[in-house]
Amino acid sequence: MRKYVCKRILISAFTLVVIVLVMFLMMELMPGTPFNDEKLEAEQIAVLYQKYGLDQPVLVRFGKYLANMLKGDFGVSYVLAKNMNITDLLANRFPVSIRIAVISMIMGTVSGILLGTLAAVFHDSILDPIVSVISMLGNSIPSYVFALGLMYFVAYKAGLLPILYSAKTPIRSILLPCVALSMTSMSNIARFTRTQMIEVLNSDYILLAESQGNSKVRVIIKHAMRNSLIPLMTIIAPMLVSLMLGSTITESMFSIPGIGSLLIQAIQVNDYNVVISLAFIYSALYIGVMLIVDILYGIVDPRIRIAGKK
Amino acid sequence: MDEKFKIVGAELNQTVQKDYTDIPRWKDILYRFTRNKGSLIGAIAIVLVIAFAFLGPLLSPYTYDAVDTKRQNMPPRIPVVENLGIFDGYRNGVDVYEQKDCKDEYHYFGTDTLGRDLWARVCYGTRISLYIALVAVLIDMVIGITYGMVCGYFGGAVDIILQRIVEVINGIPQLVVVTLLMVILKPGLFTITLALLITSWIGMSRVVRAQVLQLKEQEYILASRTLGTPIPVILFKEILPNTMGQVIILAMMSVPSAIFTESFLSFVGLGIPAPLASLGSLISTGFDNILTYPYQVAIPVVIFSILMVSFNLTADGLRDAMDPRMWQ
Repeated sequence: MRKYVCKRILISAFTLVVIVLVMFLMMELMPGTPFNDEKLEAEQIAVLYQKYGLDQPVLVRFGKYLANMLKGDFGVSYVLAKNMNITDLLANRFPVSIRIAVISMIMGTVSGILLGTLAAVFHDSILDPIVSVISMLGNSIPSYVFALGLMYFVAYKAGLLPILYSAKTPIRSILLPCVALSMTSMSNIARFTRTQMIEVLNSDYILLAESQGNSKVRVIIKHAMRNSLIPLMTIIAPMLVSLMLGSTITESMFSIPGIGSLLIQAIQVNDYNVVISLAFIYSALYIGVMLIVDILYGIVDPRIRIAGKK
Repeated sequence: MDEKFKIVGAELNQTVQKDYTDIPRWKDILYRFTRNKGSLIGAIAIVLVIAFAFLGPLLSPYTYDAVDTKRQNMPPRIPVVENLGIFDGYRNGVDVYEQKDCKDEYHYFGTDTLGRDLWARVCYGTRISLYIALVAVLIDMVIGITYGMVCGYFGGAVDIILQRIVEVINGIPQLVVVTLLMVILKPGLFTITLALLITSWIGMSRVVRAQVLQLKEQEYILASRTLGTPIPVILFKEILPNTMGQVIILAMMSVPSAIFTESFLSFVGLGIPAPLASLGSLISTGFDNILTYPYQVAIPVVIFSILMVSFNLTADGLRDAMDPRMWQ
């Protein structure tokens, strides 16, 4: 087990370094300078380059950059917020995005499990096809389309909830984006739970539990759900990361000050330090979560561990 | 017993050919595909959207890039349908077409803030999305299959190196790769194609590799190698046909994600430059006026959603039709 974990950690670390290198090189190739001001003369630009250390050789800058990245020091923003530390810039925005991701994940998981279980238990009734259609739609339509619809009908036409984010009502004003974002995970989880549940409900031990005189609700909640939900863990964690990434458009639609809308702003004003830092954070999150999932799965399912040893 | 065993996917009184030889596999698949309501609806919707994209402009006298400042934000108006009370050119109870003194004009989907006809723009936008779908499938087919087959068949050092590359590309979230690329290069159709070229074939290569790993151990491949068949022939004529089912399904599934990627880029402002339009860029510009002129965003969103859902439905249907384990 330890060997397997070490190997996975090494691969992940290597991937992360390569990613930083690729990002760094990509940004080097970007047209234009970070100082897009025509009034600046060549000498002034040279001074600015020196000030920010941009005149040193690529390798030196990369080495410094990588070391700083790993320390959590992402440098300063050149354009978006003049000379502000990116770490500080993120400190305000990160909690907002995390909150949205977690709330919508909880919404999606709870409603997904509920829908999936209902579809499996009432397999022969009209409920099953209805859930199938819902999860089909939620799975194929991107969440920002739902965000558009909710914004227009619920927030604007019915006036039930605020249209844009405001710091005064942080919970009320992120409710709609959270619902929109939860649609994808809800559909995936519903579909997954349904398949798992049908399999479990057909197994012998459920028959035994029923024949012992347990009520149907008790059998489903205490006996069937437990077993069918363990594999869910493996799809929930990666979903959380893709949720954070996928929330970029929704965040900027509702003008939520999260890291998603920051990414879009940074791209639009060519603030490459911010873009690269965000890309790094997203990738690190993604790799980290995948690593944890793999290790957890190795603990839960011994077959993977053995295959890893080989 | 009756509850546990029932006949699935075929009628009871169906006559079975003794040697099964006169039912070709594709007919079998087609039969299952058309029996599945969802996949049939999906396939028909795809055909309709394609027809709309290519025949649509013929039905309207307007071009997608003609700016007309006298005809800004005209509401949708379609002949015949207008009598039903929808698409009748009214906004807030006022007939905008009469107001602007052009009672004989019909902008089926209305016009945008610059007075460009939305019907024509949506048609062209759909074409761009379909082009991207085609590109995604081609990339999947060409790069994904070749890469996967090389990895799987040769194994050893080649496989290890190529798999590390895949792992690194896979380690970066796709949207990050695409975004970084678009920041460096000039936004446009070529760059979107390039972005797909880098990221979209990974899944396919993995599946093909796994399949090849299984297939290459089989006797018929050994026999073929003993007879001295060149490697490309083994790969493409003897292994590939056996992986085709999976390949087709995956290719279909890559379409919606490619279309989504394009719409994401357009939304960020890295997509197709004006006056060209894509569904993504239409949604993103329409969104600016969502509260005053909701039809400007609603129409492209509806077409976009139809496209996404129908490709997903078709892919699901194909999977069910091709994979006997799914007949439940």
